[in-house]
Amino acid sequence: MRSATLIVSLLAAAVMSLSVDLGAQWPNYPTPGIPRLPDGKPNLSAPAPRAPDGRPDLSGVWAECEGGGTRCPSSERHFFNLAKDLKPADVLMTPWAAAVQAQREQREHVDDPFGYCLPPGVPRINFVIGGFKILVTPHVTAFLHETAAGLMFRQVFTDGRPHPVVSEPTWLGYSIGRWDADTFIVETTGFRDRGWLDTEKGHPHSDALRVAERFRRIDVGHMELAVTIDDPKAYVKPWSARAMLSLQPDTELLESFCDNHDKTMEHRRIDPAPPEPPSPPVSEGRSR
Amino acid sequence: MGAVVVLLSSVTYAQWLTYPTPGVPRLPDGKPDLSAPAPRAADGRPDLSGIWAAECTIYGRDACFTRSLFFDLAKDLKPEEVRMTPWAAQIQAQREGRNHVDDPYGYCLPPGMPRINFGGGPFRILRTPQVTAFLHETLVGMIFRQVFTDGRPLPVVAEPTWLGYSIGRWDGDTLVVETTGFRDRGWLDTSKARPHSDALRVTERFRRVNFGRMDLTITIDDPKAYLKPWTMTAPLALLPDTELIEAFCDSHEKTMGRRRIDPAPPEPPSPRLASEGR
Repeated sequence: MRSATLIVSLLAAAVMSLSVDLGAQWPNYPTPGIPRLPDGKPNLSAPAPRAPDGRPDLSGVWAECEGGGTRCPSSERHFFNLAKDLKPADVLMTPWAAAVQAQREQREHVDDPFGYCLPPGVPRINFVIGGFKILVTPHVTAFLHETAAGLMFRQVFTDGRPHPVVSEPTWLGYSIGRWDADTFIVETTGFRDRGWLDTEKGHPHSDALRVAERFRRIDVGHMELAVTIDDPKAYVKPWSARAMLSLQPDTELLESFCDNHDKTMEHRRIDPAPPEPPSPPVSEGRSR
Repeated sequence: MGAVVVLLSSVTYAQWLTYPTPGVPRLPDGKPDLSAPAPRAADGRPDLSGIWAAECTIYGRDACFTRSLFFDLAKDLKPEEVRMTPWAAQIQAQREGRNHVDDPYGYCLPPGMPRINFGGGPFRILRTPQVTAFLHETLVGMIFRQVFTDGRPLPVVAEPTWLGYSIGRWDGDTLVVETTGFRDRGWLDTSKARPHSDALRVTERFRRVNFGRMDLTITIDDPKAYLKPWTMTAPLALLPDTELIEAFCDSHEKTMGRRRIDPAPPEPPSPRLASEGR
């Protein structure tokens, strides 16, 4: 038996090895437009700003904890366990998903695509160390992510288009956004198999995954992010996680790419990965 | 070396999403009116928003990709306009002698600047008051650049990067983007394998000529690598009614193992400039 703590630290070490030059230099030009206290510090409890159209303005650099996500114990980070606040009965897996998860754990997480400089997937990309910037424009809201595997963006279309039928599924999916009162709802489909919802648990998802992200800015410094995982091939019923994001003022995203990829990768693979079985047809899971 | 880079991209390009781009002027038959005047933003500046691509990217229908700026950034210049320093000439010779296998872009690292503008896929420009973002579909990932337009100066960069640090300002109707803070080991182009140093300063001038066309003029100023600054211009075309497509390095692990000929002798670091002191 390995201790959970050891696994978590191994994982952390594996993922961190990609990011050694992170966090050393944070350009600290003051972020324009942030309300300030008399001493010049950001007033993080001021009311949430609003855009000219009256909607809350979600712009800014966000992360699950301070310091771009570095100042929380791993036990408090959804990056490691997206279901950390849920009971096991809330996240019951289908047999296919349970087998995939068991294989991932049995192989000591060496098959995590994020460890091979591939994207961390959705919603995990929101919880990696580094944080992300939201940019709001009339037809697209862009999410700019600093991740250990590289700078990468997601586009959320807000021009009223529907979800397309996706013939080539992707790691980050296809996202459309809409407002429900003061909450920005992003719905994403078009995922491929082999994604990991989180890092320690290795919760799988299938190409039937539908992620709903609900962003609600509470004040200048805080935003609630509620994530719903609806994947009838992988989970017996939909489940939701709730995270609190902190504004990272007066700082910037930093470039990181997988420069030491060729070195780390050779060391990490234990043996050739037995391919994970593809997800079954929906008829074998529950219906949505 | 074309084959090397194209190897990475076997999974993309089959599927282009075709939702009509909002805000594009249309002809009576519904096609985009690409010769309509360039749109303007609320502040009166030209609005550069949209998806853009240089001529002869790999999306071109003909074989002109091999004659593109991606392969030779100075293809329209005379050799004496891009004279290298001895350090740069030695690096270039090493890269060519090793059949280009050390190109970072072949290892899923960013194509660098300004090659990222010509490096395979198109890019989207998104404009907000403080930041203009460039969203690049590349063969190695969905990579963004931020261009700060909030008046900040270029910082002193302690940790140089592949894509540098960019600020933007308007010169009449031209958006001028200046970028510094680069690291050594970057490739300005692919076939010529032109090096740059950490002293590189790239100036990009974006001028939208009409709805469908933008001229991008680039100046390479790198006193460690080139005897004098040099400038080239690339026409960019708007791509309407389409979208960027996700591409990441899924085949990386397979291709990489085969590609290295032998361990790369490290390229010598760029020399110090007199102005940098000792």
